[in-house]
Formats: sequence, C-alpha cells, structure tokens
Amino acid sequence: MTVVYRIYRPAHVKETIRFNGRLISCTEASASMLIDASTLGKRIVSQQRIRALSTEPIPDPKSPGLNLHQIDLVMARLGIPYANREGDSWAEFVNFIREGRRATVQLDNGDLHDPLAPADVAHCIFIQAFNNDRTKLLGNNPLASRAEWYPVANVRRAMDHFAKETGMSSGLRFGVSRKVPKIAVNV
Amino acid sequence: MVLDPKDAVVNDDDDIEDTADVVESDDSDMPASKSIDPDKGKIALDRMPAE
Repeated sequence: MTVVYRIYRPAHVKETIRFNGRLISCTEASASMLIDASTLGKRIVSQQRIRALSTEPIPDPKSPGLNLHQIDLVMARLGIPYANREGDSWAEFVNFIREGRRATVQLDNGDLHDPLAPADVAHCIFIQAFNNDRTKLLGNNPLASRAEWYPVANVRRAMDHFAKETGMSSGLRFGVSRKVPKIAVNV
Repeated sequence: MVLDPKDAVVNDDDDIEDTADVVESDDSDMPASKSIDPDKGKIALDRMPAE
C-alpha cells in the first residue's frame, strides 16, 4: 500500500436562493465550498446559513447579492480564516493559489465561457488549484453541477472585467482561505 | 444543494499542480483582510441569472 498526498475536494454546491425570479446566492455557495475545503470537510455551512449570518439576511431589492466584505464578516463570525483581498493583482492571486489556498472570486461569467453554465451575468465562483502547466484552474461555478477546468486566460479576463465594472481602477475582487493541508490517501 | 462528492471529480489528481508541502497549517500566516470599498462588489438584480 502506498500513501499519496492529495488536495481535498469539497462537494459541489449549486446556488439555490431565489429572489424576484433570480438566483442570488453565488457568493454564499462559493463561500460554503471554501469552508468545506479549508476545513477538510470538518465544517459544512449551507448557503442559507451564510446569508442568515450576513449583514443582509433580507436581500436588498436593487443589489441582492452579497459582496466579499460581507463574506469576510460572516467568516469572522464562524471563526473560519478568510481574507478579503480586493484590490490585489493577478500576480498576487496566482501566488495565493500556488501556496495551497482556496479562493472565492468575483467575475463576469460571460467572459469565463463556462460550457456548463454560459449565462452572461455578474458572478462569484470557487477556485481550488492550478493544473500542472498552469494553463487551467480547477473551479466550481455555482450555476454548474460539478467542478470544471477553466482556461487561466478566461478566469483572468472575467475577474478583470468584473472589477472594472464595479468601479475598481486597478486590482481584482477575491478572497482567500488559509493554506489548506493535503490529505493522505492510500492507493 | 449539496451534491455527492464524486460529482466534483472531473480529472485525475495527477493533473493538479503540486503546491508547497503544506501538511499542517496554524493559520498564523493568513494575510490581512482589506476592505477598501465595503459597499462595492454587490451584484445588481438585473445582472443575476434568471431562474
């Protein structure tokens, strides 16, 4: 028997909270996956619970989605290590992922060109890791039904688009977990 | 909705880049949070997906 070390993959979470005919919980679903991943499955917090713990349990009718500052406050209440790094560059994002951290990233879903969820909407997804040649990122889109490999260029363009669309002159909008230990697996 | 973990497996783990040898973490190296514009980044209703 051989022991290998692998990253822990959380269960995929689809966004399900509805408001005025729209799905509004991409940020909560992404945060739920980040909590599962960063605690190696020890803490499971639903998207509904995250919304209830937020500063906006009743959605603002004009902009019902949560932002990463609000997620930061929820993580603090739950005792989950999380850092809202809005304003950081793409290079800093890459370094965080390569350190073994997971991330919630806000982006323009149309630029992501997700074959599983092509909707042209503003969005938040969960990012797990790079592939070996760092051409793709393993991520979970709460509009899709499973994890997918996304071309790095698409993710970068989509994050940049969202940041500019929401008034950020430089930098991106994302938050990161602690460095997540790998799990030992017998093969 | 939480799906079965097997649904999350889309590729062989050998494809995942080997990160630093993080075998334990004491959280002491967490970067600080930044809230440069706490009211921004909220998504307007008309930019969210229809059911």
